[in-house]
Amino acid sequence: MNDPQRLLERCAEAVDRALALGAQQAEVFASAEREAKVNLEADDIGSAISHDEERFGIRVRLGGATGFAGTNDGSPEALEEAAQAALALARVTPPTPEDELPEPRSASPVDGLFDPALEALDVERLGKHCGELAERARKLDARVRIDSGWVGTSTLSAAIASSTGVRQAERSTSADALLFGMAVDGDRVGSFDAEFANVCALGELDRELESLAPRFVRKLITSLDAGPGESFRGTLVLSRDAVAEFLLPPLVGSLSAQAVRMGRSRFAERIGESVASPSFGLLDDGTLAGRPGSASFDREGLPHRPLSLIEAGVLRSFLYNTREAQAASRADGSTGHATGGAGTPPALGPTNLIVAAGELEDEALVAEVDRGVLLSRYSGNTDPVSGDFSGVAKGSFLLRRGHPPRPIQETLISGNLYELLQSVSGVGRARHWVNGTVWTPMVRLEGVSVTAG
Amino acid sequence: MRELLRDLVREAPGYVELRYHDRNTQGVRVEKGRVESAQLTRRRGVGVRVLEGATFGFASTSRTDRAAIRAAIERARAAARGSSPFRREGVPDLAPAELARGSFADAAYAELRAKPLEEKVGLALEMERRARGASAAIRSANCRYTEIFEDKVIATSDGADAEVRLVRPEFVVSAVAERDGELRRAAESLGVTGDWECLFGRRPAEALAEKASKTAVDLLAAGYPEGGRVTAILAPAIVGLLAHEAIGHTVEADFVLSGSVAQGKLGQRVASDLVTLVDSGESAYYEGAGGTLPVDDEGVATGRTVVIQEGILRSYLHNRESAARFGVAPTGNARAWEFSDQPLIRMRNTYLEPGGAMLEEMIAEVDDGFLLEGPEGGQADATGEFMFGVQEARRIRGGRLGELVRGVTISGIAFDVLQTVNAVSREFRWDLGAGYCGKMQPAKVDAGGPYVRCQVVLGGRQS
Repeated sequence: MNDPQRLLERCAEAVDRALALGAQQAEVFASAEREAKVNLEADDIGSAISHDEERFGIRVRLGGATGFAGTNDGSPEALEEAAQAALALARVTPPTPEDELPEPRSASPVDGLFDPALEALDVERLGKHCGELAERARKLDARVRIDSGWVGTSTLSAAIASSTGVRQAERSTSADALLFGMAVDGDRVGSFDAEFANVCALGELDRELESLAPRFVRKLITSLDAGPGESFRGTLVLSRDAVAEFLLPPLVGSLSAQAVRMGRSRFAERIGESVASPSFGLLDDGTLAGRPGSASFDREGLPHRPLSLIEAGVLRSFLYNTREAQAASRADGSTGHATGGAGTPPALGPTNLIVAAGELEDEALVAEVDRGVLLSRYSGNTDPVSGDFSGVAKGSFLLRRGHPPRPIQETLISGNLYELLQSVSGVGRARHWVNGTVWTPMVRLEGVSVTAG
Repeated sequence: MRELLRDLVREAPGYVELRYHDRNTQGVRVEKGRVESAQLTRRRGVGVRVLEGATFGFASTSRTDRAAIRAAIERARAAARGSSPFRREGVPDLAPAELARGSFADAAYAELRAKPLEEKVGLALEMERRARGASAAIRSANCRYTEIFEDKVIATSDGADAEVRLVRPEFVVSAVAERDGELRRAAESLGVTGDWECLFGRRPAEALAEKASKTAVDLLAAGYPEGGRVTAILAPAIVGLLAHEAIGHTVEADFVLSGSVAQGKLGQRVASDLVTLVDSGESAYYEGAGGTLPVDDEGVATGRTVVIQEGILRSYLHNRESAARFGVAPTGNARAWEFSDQPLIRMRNTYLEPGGAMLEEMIAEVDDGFLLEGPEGGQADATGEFMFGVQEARRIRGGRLGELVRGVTISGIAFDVLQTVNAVSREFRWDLGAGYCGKMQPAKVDAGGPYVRCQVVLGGRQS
């Protein structure tokens, strides 16, 4: 079931079938996934899971319009039914001329995405890893409560064929582990927090499982001692997690060519201009060996490539898939950022994001702050269009020069993300991977409103 | 399929739960006059859960023939056996329950299936055009129509034998307004369990399109409030979010077992006596609440669970395992998103019961405060600490509604906030719109309530 070349042949057959049914262009993307996972529930091993599934997504062009249908039934009859459904949608949809399927491009395989040792990991060994992970967390501090979590592996074959000649297939492995919970000490209950790891090889999984529990426990215990915050306007120091989960998602949303075309991006028509302080840089690279965000081709079968988005504060590029490249009349075409699986039409998004390193040690980033907040996690809303944000600083610390950081609760932060980007006052030197796909240092920003409850 | 699953659970030893799920999701999204996507996704298969060695094993298969399901049962058994040695404590025998038998088909399913595709695509095109044309300040608009057709068969070896068929359509329209390079976005949405009439019967699509555009334009001129603890009147959508996010999650029995703030509080006062909070598989007050379901994914008939009665915590939300651990009856809260997901404890329709006050009187009694409408998403914590964004926050001064302010987030500790409730309106609305709950897997839920006056912390800008 997991042979990528056989999957590719079936994609090509389904393309031919869609053309025979009347499609003027057709593309079939398929995935075959084998997943095994052992869950943690309420401080104990929970259920063990085994899942096998094939999925096919058929995109057709007819009369200048596009239709898409997805199915998890790979039989010839079901694929024909899906092609007919996609054609039916195209027939009732107005034409979209800038939506032609891409021409093929040669792609070099990315190394380190498949590890047979990881594929061989069975549910017994996952159960053992899971039990040891929970035990390690409990031994570090008995106040830790694991609400849920897991250790799981997946082997994924992906293939794509189209009537324009795209032919790509690849097999990859991944493993992930999660701990989610809180600390409880008598009547005191700390905030929820989580620690996550995502890797492509067994050796990396072993290393991550060693360090996951200590990182998780440190986060949970901190919030138990949280006290009231203060209201002021001051500095915000972003932990690496906060860079990945608070700063980058709305920023990358505005760097999407689709947001630009739709009038939803603050960065429209600003290529070559300063959009951030000179110390801030951002790169996307889906070609890194052995990273879960990497692949040899994107959702349209085109190769990824390193792409500088912001360099020394200057906007260098947006992210494009084929549709957006056609709509923008971009001579170089897609940047290889079509995303998604077989269940949906190609979308647009980043791969691995890399924030440029600065020169400051983590300790200096914090010690230089007169009055501010060290943000560990953000629970709130950010409007990617305006950049306005307002939310709770979770598991975070109040910073005052000359005093040790003090954990706080019921403290809201607010401001405008795009204005803050222009006020970066420091970037850390040491970078770590967050969630397997963001390589970032800590970042310090000025001019944030802090409101204590 | 029902007969096949019934046969298979009969022949298998021990506890076996089989769930066939066929989901068809069809949708169209229009932005700036262009169809951005028109798609149909069908995903079907059988999820198998077994209890062996006091451990749950779960396997799923997208093939739905007898041999494939038998093989999935064996894989689920092997998974349970493989992880069982590492458990600290076994799963108890499941709590006895009122297990559903029979067919539960909503007529809306067939009605919406029969509606021509052209009309649905046409609606999205027309409403996006209307939103975009509502003002010269509108820079772009977006409209999405989605419908999810659900066919399920649930069979368990201890007697559940149910077939469920329902449909959940959703409609979302948003607009972005621009002035002098500044952008503001606003959105309106609907989501129901029911047909076209149920979706648009109370609020026509045209009204939503115009409202989204008007709000986006109005927000351009709005200022930022200064933050602090304030008196607020929460609209039904925000009350629903509070009931779901800040209270509902803390009373899900799996969170309670992990140590949520609701642990050990049964029988204790946790809210003002004006507060009665319910989670229900039915749609109270009027039809169509988005989380309505007759049978949960363990085959338990859903009902109405009073969580807080006049301020006293009365019940947690249970599946069959947690009910056994607490020695109570299951509440029908086990839900799985797709066939490949195992059932978790999830909410359905969560709401505060209405009271006797009139909204106008509630506003007139506020000297300095805010009327908060239109949630923009939110999260809550094990501590009951919550955070909700607010799209439309309007000042109240001297008992009168004043100017719109923007960039508002409210926060507080849920049980503390509920203690401050001093007025509850007569008016009631289901109002989670096209919202979903996320807890490892999505779930279609609804939430609502009356207008509620209380004290919250409002995040604003410091000078």
